[in-house]
Amino acid sequence: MCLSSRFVRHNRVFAPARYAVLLLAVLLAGGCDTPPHRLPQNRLPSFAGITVLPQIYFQGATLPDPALPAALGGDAPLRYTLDPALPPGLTFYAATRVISGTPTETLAPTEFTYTAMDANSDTASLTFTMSVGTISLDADATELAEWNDPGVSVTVTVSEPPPLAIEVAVDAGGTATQGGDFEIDGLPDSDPDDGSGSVQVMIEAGADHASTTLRSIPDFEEEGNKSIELSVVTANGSRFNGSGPSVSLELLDEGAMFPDAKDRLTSAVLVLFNNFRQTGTDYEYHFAVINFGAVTTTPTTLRTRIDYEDFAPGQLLGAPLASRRFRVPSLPPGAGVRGHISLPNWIQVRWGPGIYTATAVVNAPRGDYFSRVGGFLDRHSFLIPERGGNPFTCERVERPVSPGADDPLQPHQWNLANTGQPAFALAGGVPGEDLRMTGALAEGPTGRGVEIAIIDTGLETCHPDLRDNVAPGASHNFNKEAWPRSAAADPFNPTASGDHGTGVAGVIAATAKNGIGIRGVAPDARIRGYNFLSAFDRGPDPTILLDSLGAGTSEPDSSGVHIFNMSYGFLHGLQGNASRPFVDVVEHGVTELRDGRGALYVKAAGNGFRVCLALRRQHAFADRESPYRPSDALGCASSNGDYNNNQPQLITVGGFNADGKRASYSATGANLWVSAPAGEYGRLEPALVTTDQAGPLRGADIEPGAIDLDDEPLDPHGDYRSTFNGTSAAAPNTTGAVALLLETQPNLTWRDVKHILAGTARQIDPDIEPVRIAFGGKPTVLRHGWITNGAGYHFHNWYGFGAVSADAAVEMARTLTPDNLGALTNAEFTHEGSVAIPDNDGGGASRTLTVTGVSESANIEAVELILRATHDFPSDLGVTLVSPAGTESIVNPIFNDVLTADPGGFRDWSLLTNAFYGESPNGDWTLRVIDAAPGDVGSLDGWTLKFALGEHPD
Amino acid sequence: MGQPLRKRTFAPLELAGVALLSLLTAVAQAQVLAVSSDEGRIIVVPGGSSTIPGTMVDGVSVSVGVEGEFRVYRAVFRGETHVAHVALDGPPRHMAFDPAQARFREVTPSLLVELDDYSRLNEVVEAIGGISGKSYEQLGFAVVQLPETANPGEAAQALQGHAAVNTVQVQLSRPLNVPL
Repeated sequence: MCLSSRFVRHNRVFAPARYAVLLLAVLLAGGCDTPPHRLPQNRLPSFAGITVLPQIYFQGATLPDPALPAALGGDAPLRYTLDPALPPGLTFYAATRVISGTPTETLAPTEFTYTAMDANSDTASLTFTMSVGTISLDADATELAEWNDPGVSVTVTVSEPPPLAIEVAVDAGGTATQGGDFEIDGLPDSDPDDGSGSVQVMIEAGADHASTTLRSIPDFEEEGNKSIELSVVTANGSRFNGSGPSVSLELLDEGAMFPDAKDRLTSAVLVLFNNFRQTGTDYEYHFAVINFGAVTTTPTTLRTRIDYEDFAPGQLLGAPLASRRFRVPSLPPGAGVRGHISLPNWIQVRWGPGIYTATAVVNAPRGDYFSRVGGFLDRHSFLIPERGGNPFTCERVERPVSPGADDPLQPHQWNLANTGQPAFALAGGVPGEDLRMTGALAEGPTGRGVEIAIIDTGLETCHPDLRDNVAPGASHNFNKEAWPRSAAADPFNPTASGDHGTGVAGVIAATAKNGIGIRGVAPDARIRGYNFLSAFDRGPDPTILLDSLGAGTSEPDSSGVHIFNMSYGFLHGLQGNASRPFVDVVEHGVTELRDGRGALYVKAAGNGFRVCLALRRQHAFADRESPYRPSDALGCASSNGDYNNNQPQLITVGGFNADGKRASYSATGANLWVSAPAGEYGRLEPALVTTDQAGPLRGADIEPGAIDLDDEPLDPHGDYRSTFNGTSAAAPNTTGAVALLLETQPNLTWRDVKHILAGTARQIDPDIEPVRIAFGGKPTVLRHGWITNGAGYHFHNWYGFGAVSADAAVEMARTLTPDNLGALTNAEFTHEGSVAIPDNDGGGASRTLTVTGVSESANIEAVELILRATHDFPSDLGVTLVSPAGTESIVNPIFNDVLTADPGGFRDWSLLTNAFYGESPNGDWTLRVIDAAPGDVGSLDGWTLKFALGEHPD
Repeated sequence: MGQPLRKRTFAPLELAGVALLSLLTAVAQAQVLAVSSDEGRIIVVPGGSSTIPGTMVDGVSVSVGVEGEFRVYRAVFRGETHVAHVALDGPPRHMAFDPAQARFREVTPSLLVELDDYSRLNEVVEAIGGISGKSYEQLGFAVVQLPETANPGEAAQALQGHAAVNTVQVQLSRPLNVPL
């Protein structure tokens, strides 16, 4: 390279700019001081083929000593001149052909003539333009908030639009640390250690400005405000030497929201009716008061009462029929007390048929916190029907069914076709944010021939919009002992407070074209109900689980089920792994049922996004009246924390609302497979419209203050509700879509179905931003944007592979060759050895595990990560797994509420991630564990990767 | 102040089971036992109202006392003390210390048993005064239901020597499942 070392030395800029300047210099120089070839004497000098690009300088910026090109030929010595005179501050050195100095005045674009004269006075000339402009730096704000600030736009403006694109380097100084406290878009390498760095801003040819954005990197530390000093250091290679335009910003510290997460721990009192039973001629409403939190409660009282309503809902009789007051002692974490209030026979005789509602209210202990799940109050209603009626069996009611007629509530079912309809809420959503099943609605499939079990609280098998699709005699009631008058094959829910399973059933398979109510996603599928969640007395009995999920061959026979809908989950759990019965029955189901093609297990992800039972994170900013809460971005309880959700066979489903965004409660996690419509609460924003307990005296119709449909002419009998939500609602939408696939191609295996759902899922909320937060000055990603993994699948912890896209899935099912994903195999690799996890450090501890020897054609279908760590407060720990393809998956979020009452570390904790689907397992896997709060320390002691593998066709 | 929370009444069948098991385990009453569960070896502490002085089992010191309205279970394991509280007024509950999870957990009144010949399940159920048994041969085990008051640890230990039984595991309780 024939450039002076001085030139290079004086241009300390980032690589791309440096290369640009080098290129410019080569063009300027046109060659070397020594001509490349010895030329004959008495030749004329020449600039043939040499061009000098426009020279763009800036007032006050020292030039990088550009050298003009040497002429070719001519008789030595050659002398060089420039005309007209250079602007003030610049000097042309004829001997070296270098223009040097710092322009002190501006110069409009001016043509200069550059002449070479040889010893014989022969000359050659060329022309080029030169300009000296000014440059300015501006910001659209003087302050940058630490949290929830979209950023400050920083603009570089030049007085003269350049004829060529130029680069302007902006340095950041001040007390704030670049890369630790803030970042600038376009900065290729932040350098948090020395707090310096430059961002290159490119001003395009003909433009007079360019902008970049400066964003805060929030942290949870009390640091005080900091300054950010931005200044232009170079412009098109010229250096300002500290005199460049600058702008100052103040980075506003928003304080320590929870400097130590443990400071935010509270108790979490929850009262819930957990059993209703008949004892002789009395009925008993059983309740429990449980402290799910991490701090002992203070003693308090609980009041219960039974109220009577005649057959005019909402018309309370006045004084309660019975009331009792209980003393609730101080409850340590995890402890609970139970009790019941009786509805004696003499009251039933005295008051007769009607609705008997028990209410339990705990006096809020001072300082205690309650969950949004239920809180301090719960209510349970029971309907004693007119004389001769049995409150424990489904009594058929007649409705004016019109075969072939439209379903009048279908236009409100935004989950099927979202037109922006409000669905009885105040406002509607975004058209198109639905199951994308226009084709199926018009032409099918409809789920014909598919057997679905609804594992839930019950099923109203005689509901007028469900009964045509109920498989005769296939349902089962597990609570026969507690309800002596109930029937073994009738999972009727005797509560009048709503039956969750009946709502689920309507989403899946309400009858279509019968002139009443709604239609299901798969309106010709056959359904059955197992009231697994109402078997209160037998809750710990594993036979209920086994019989419900495919291992039962009698009472009930669940072996003929194709899809199990599991719209349930833990209310609040602790670290742990699935039980052997659950693991074994699911494994049995996918290997043996459907003639070996495998049943499908569709599971709700959980509603814990905002349920911080023990850690009051969502109120971290309450004192500051800030609308921003970290938990809004990160969530509280992870879906992976429900250890029934970490089985790779499941289709775990998150919920989205009518706007196509994550439903406010929907739990997130790497274990999600897909998302489906679930909605909000049906008041301000739509929930789902579905079947309710039939009649106006049961279900949503009698909820205090409920918005139901009983005043609607479209629901004249009170058989429907418009407030059904939760990931419980997302699961049946997915179950219905799976039924469409199984009708389309009955030979699909369970893996084929998952493959199709993943391959056709739709990216919703596509612009979701990653969240980076600094700990100990080191930023770390706590939430990714959408990622595309090494096999081309899109994935996000909020949505899995995306929203179920039914028509696309059906189309893929039509063309996919069934059972063509290769044999399902497993491989397991373990990393041993302990490493300290640095306290309050976003960099964390990383360890690499090399996976070798697996077939190169293997494709990952799921990865289970089994963690072993020692830590005083594991809720501080965030865990990210990085695949050989570079795909990052956050498998445990920081401040996971599941871990707050569970000190000690990770004890062979199994977590599932689907983010690597389709990738090869071979190569280096990196596990990164960060500690996000000061004060508690620990170590990563080992980890195991368990792969489920197939061999997918290209 | 109102009435304290009351205990549940027992079904007649449960009472019968309690009587059978009482006979079976009269000698081993109030034993703290290490037995297998589906999550590894655990230390089952008998329920009931008795207190238990410090007892060392499998390297874990376990004791049970009464504090206020709770039965308080304590385990000292690897230098750490782990505590659980169970209300005195309430249905009988059996707790176990799970060394793998380093915490107390509730034990369900059921056993998973693996048999060579599942036609002998009734014989196994009767041997420990179980309420019922159901075979899941395709999964490789059967489930035996015990009376609520029976100590699952003692029942498991009693079956370990049974000729028809290959393995027996007590079942740890899981968090409450609710509709979502």
